[in-house]
Amino acid sequence: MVDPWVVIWAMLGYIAVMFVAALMVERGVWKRQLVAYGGMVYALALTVYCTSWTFYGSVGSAATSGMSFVAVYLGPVLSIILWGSLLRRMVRIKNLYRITTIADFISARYAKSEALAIVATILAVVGVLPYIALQLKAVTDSFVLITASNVAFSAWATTYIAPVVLVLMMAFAILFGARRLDPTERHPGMVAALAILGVVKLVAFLAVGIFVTYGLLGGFRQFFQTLENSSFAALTDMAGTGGSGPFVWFTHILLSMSAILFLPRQFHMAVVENENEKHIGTAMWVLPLYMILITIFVLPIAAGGLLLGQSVTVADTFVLRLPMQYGPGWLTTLVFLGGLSASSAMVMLTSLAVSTMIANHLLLPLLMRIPFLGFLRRNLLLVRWGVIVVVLLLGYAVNLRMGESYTLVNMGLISFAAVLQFAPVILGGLFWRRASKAGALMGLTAGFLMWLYTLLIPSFVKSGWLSMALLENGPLGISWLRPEQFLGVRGLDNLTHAVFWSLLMNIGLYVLGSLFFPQSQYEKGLADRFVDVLAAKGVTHAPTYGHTQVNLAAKTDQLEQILNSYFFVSESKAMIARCLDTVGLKDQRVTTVNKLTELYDEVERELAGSLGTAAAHRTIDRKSLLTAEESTELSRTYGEILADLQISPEELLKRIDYYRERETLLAEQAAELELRVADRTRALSTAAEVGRAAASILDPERLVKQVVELIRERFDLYYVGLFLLDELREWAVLRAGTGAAGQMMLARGHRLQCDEGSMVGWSIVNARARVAQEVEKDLVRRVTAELPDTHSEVAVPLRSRGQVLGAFTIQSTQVNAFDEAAITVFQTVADQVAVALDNARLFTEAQAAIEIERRAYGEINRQAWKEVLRARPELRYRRDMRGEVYSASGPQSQEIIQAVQTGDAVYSENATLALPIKIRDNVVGALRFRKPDVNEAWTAEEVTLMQTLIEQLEGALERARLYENTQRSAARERTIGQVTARMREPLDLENVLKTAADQMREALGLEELVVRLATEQTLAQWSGSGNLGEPESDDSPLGDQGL
Amino acid sequence: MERLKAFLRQPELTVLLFVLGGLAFLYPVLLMLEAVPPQATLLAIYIPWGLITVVLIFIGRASFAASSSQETVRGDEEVHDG
Repeated sequence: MVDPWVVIWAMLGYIAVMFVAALMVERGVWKRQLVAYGGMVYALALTVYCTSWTFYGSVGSAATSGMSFVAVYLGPVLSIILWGSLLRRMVRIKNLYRITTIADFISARYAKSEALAIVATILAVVGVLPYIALQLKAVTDSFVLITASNVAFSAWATTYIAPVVLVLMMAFAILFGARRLDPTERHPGMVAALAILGVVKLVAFLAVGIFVTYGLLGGFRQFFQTLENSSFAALTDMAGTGGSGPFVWFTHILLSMSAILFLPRQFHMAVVENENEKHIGTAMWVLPLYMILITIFVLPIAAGGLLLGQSVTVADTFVLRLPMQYGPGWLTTLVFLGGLSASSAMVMLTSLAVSTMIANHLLLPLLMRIPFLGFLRRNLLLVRWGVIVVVLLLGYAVNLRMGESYTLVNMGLISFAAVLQFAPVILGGLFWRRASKAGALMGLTAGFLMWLYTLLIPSFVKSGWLSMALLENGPLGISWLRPEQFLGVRGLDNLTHAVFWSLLMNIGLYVLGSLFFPQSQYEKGLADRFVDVLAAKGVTHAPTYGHTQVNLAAKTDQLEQILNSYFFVSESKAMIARCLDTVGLKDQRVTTVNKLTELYDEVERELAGSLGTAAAHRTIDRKSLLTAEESTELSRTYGEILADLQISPEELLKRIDYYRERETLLAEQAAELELRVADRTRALSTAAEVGRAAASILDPERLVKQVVELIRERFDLYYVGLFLLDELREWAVLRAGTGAAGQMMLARGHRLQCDEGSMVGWSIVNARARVAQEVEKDLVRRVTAELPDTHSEVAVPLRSRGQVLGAFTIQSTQVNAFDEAAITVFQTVADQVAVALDNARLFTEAQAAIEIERRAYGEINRQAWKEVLRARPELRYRRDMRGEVYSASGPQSQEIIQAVQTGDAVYSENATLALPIKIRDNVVGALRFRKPDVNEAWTAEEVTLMQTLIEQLEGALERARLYENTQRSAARERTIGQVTARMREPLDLENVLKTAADQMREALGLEELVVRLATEQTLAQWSGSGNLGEPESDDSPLGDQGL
Repeated sequence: MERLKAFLRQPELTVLLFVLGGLAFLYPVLLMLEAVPPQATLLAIYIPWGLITVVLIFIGRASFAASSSQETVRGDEEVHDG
């Protein structure tokens, strides 16, 4: 058994994850990912079709009725085949009229009829509300089951788990479904959450399916062998569906074909939440595939439960019971979360869709007619929130009231049969021009009433709420009116019977009513627009016709007053400004009548997003907005146009469609160009930003780190790395990389050989960018283990002064992520970074050279001072209190010695301070200061002052030394000059030598100087006579040795 | 390839697929398989289902990949690239 607290925490944690995911999407954090995988998200969100009825109920159905369970998944598959045409039409119409609900869709087609919208809403609410209750029941039952071992907890769960889930669902639906009055009614956060829920329920179901099939039954082969030899072999038979097999089968397929699109939640998800037609293409195969996966293990689980001795009466809970009894705890928790996902997704989306219908089509018409409730019109958002709360509370109340009743247990198919009534009016509206409002109203009402009478009321009887006599004898004992044998029809199961009669009445009256009651001109226009929606590709504002000039300001004031009934003044003004801009009347003061009606159309369209098409149409009432003259002018204008063109109205419409289409295409092209310009501007702005960073950072290490982060962040990339060549230019070494992957690669010293064996190497060798739009297909690219999600990559060389310094590697999780423009921008950035790196290198080299010179000069300076101090060791002076300065003597003080040795200030206890004298970092002496009062300490200001003065002293000393040096050099030069001049005066050899000896001795202050001339021969003689090295006697003849 | 895409874009193809799918899932057709081993009914349902899914992949890609930029209607939607 699973610990109940584990389940509680898992459930709360899971819901918290949903909240966070939805919030991230709403805030645009995953905007790029949603653009890339929008189709998949849309398709997975559509799996909201698979509720707890699928998750738990399909196994129960298989255990009791064999293969008939699969029919409710085959129907959607068949329906989806037609989505390429059908759903695409509906999405286009949704965009055209700002449709927000299925009732709105029906109303928009049939003259924007409020009555039709009301009938459709009532049908949806009655048909679907108990379905919400069924989901809440599933959550409660599953929780109670897995906590059954803990009696107290189980009792608590029975009472409180549904309200807890309900409150969370309310919060979710309001926060992410109705946070604002969005005219588009699209909720990307909720859609993303639905997609995640879809994945979780699939994973959970597959997990339990694999566990049962392979863990308990020994695989499919053994399962079928066991089944064949057991008493449950009939489970795989089609006949297992009972006596009415073919009818049940067909009915289930038919019901599910319509349910996949016409259940309010399915319509909302498939049509209203669609933001790109392309996503339909993805949904067309993802949804059938999903249904294969979620049903493939249904039969093994159902049969497995029975083979393992479980009672068929609890078959609905086999999905949970089998892992509980035979499996690990985590699997049970996962299955519970899967069931919770299935239920909560349905509850959230259904409450949102139904509440929008109730607010727009039931409450709003009331608010428009009851004056004292007018204040609520300006608080539509609060009304919407209130309705969501009420809908969910009603669902909860139905759950409490109906409990285990026949009605609730069978509510899935009863709901399907209810929404089947939408199919004739919707499909007819899309493909049959003559379908009229009257026919639709008659058909839908009749279908609804027949469904009520032949299906819902009998279910009430079977639940024990009405007398069984009604079924057995008919109302008032009229047997041919018996609900389940209407007009004496027998032999059909009750569902097929109800579907037959309700559809017959619905379609019959729809067709007859449409043929009998002709359409109005307005209806005809709408019918053409609906039927031809794929042919006429768009609507733009029409060219200007007419002569009467209308005061536009007065008309917009009038519109504003109307809108102020629903919105705040600022919102009304903004809406009108948007509409004026859309129809090309921005900043205009006057206009023509036909342009004015176009403005009204646009305001109505915009308003429809918040109020629904019927209410919006009623609000923007042309008859009250146009004066009699304006109406006449409008008719006259259209008449003139037709007369001038000499064409029929149908031909005119075709031509208008052509021009509008052309204008739409041009407008789309312009918008695309603007988008490209905006992209390019953003890219160039980022390049400039990188350039600024490159220019301002001189430290190469810091520069490369900042640049890669900047590029990754601004271009929203997966990874950016920067390689620089080593000294031998053999390896490109990773110097900076983004994220954890970058850190790991840096830590292991990632490098690539500088050859054509890698993207980076290739780029360096060829000095140009290399792009792999799909990395799997690039033969050169090397896979990096740290970057598993890369799908496209570009390597850009770093070029400066004709030399390649390295390369960038820029990687994205999407295929085809880099277009020409992006690569050009990357190359620009790379060039800027390369120049900056080159400059930084040159700067570093220059700094090093300066340092070497500085050190060399410092050494020379140090040697010079050494010489000075050696030559003049007596340079010590002392000044006493009397102001006398005298040469110091005696032993050196410890403070002085320490200051010279350490080069720092030295303090001693008797208020003595010693400060070193430094010249070009060489300590050449020190100063010792002592205060008269030995107890007085040296303050920081005093020390600073001393140091400043010492700096001056240092400069003065250096200058003095240099001056003395210069003086000595000058004296030496002068002496050399004098001696040389004297030596040159005599002309004979002897006097030259005498003069030289005399002058040199005198100039150098020597005691003795000997000069002798000698040759090698003379030297040999001296060596032989032993005279070598002996001192010369004063009387030694100088000239007798000869030259 | 373009020819194949054009073929897949034809609305008649989806109608044909719908009809074939409907026939494949017809009750009497499935009933005929009851005489054979139990897995036959399952295969008779899931194999056509799988084939339809595969064909829908190609139809979806061919029909919608090229159309979105050209056929987006004016409304509140953004313009998407194709």
